[in-house]
Amino acid sequence: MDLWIAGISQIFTLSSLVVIVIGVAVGIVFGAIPGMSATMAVALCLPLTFSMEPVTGIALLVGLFVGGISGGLITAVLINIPGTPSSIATTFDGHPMAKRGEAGKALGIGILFSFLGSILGCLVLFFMAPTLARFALQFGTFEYFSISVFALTLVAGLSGKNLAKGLVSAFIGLLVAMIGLAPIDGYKRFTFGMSEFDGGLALLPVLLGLFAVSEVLKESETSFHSKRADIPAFNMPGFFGLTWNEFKGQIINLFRSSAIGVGVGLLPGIGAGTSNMIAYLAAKNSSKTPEKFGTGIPDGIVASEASNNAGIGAAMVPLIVLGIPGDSVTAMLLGGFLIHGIQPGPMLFQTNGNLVYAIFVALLVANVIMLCFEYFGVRVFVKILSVPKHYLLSVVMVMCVVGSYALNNRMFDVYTLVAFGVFGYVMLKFEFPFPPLILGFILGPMIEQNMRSSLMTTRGSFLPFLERPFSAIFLVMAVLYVLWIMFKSVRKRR
Amino acid sequence: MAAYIKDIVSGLFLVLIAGIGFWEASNIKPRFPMGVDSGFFPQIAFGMLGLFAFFIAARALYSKTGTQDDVPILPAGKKAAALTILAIVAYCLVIPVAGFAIATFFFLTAQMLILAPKGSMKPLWFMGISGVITMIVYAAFTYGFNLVLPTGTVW
Repeated sequence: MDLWIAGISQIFTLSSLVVIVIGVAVGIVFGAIPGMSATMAVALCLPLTFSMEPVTGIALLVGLFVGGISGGLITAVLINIPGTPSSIATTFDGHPMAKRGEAGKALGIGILFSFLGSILGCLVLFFMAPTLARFALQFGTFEYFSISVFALTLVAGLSGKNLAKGLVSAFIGLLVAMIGLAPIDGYKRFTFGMSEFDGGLALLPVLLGLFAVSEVLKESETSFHSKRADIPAFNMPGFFGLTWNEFKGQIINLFRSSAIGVGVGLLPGIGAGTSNMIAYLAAKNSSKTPEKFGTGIPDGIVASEASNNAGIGAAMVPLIVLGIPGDSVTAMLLGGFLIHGIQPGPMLFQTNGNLVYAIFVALLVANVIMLCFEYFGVRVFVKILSVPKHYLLSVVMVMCVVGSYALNNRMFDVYTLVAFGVFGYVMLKFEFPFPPLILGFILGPMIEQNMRSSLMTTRGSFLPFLERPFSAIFLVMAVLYVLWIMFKSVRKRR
Repeated sequence: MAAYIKDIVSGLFLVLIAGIGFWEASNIKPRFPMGVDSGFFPQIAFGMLGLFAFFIAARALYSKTGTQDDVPILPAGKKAAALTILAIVAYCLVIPVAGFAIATFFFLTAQMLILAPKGSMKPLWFMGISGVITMIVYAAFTYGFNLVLPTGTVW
């Protein structure tokens, strides 16, 4: 209870509340604009946190995360283009409702159930994270190595359409992380005789390059013929456009969809982009009138929005408890933690418990602010959608340069940003997924450090990795997962 | 370029990179008597990279089908992307000479001209907007967030 009070007192300060408000607003804008995302919002705003207190900085990032995921529903409903992949299924019923003149009701339902789903996800985080953290204290280098390998394998397999490309991407990430001094003995690797490489590549320029610059380049291909979207007029009658009976009728759908969102969010690599589709299909399959799905009914919107927002809290569990991000947004959040000298993991509850509970409170506050903003200010966000892309993309690029430079005050990081931006664009062209590369880059040092430390204690023997139960479970799961994907691929082709 | 040719090209290119990397990693001298040395993990990673890259290329060569959808891009789109890359590279090279503010002003103007639809080309308006954005970004980061922005030999 003391930790909760400490968390509340850290978040209910003027500076923290102001940054959460700004974070949610900016996040909604990024979530709503197709081509931009919560990931990009967090990446671009990371440099703004440099001069902030850790709690304030993390609160800003949490606000961006919450706003970014929920903002996608606005364009999904109004113009049939999901602002983020997490709102794809929202278009199925949201836009038909908008075309029928019920855009306000569709938005109201989406906003309300985004909020409720998110709160359910947060509850899972609050109850699960401390328990898991206590359990994870028993983990040693063997277990961390195995969990990291498992997470990386899962992300590689689930990102994109092809396991081989996902694995190639993951290994590129691991190799990029090896530039600089090796763990344990400090051997200089792949520095090409340049002292700038000695410290390795910084996380922020790599993230910004892959997620923001490459997106600017991709969007530049279509920007010259983009037209302003035709946005229908709308109003939101009554309580989020819903009657009490309609609300009651969605409660089971809410819990089922949120449970799917939580389950998917806990696993590395899948993310809200998939959970909203699974929840939509689950809602359709369990409905008495499945034929009505896709024609514009609230059930589809509830399923999609409750599930994608429930994943926010769940996705924070592996990040906070193990220090292992499950997707690209939480990878950005990890970057934010590290920039402020905070190493997530089970020890965080012991060493920085106040901060953990401040994050919990920030999540709750950000959700309430999201609800208010989207309910009262949805018209303002709709107006922002009409800002032409050539202004937005140009400013995004400048922000990337500022962010990369401000990290260490050196142009080398800006050159890294550009190099990874172009590299990311080439990867997009050849359809190699980004998330495994990012996870490989982040987990690479952790995997190598833990593996080498373990092998030092075993004098080079790999057998103990399989003799320790949790280590063995995760390694076997990683191998089985790869075999399962390969088996599925072979069977599909036959 | 057909989708499967893209897979062959990317696969073979990565096999080459993996080969060079593996050779480089195998030249890392062992320093530590216990466990494994600093070359072990890169060798594994390069080896696996080469293996999976070869698999991508071989699969495309054998089945003549790619792993991706071939989405055509209009020539104007390719030109805009190429010009954007050039503008970004030029921007980063000019910053150490002209300084952040001047380089940003010219970059923003150029970038807007490259990306704007034909009916929305307003060079003078873009210059004005670029000036305002540059000033806002400079003031916000320098005075608002106390961050250092790059200076050049000119300013």
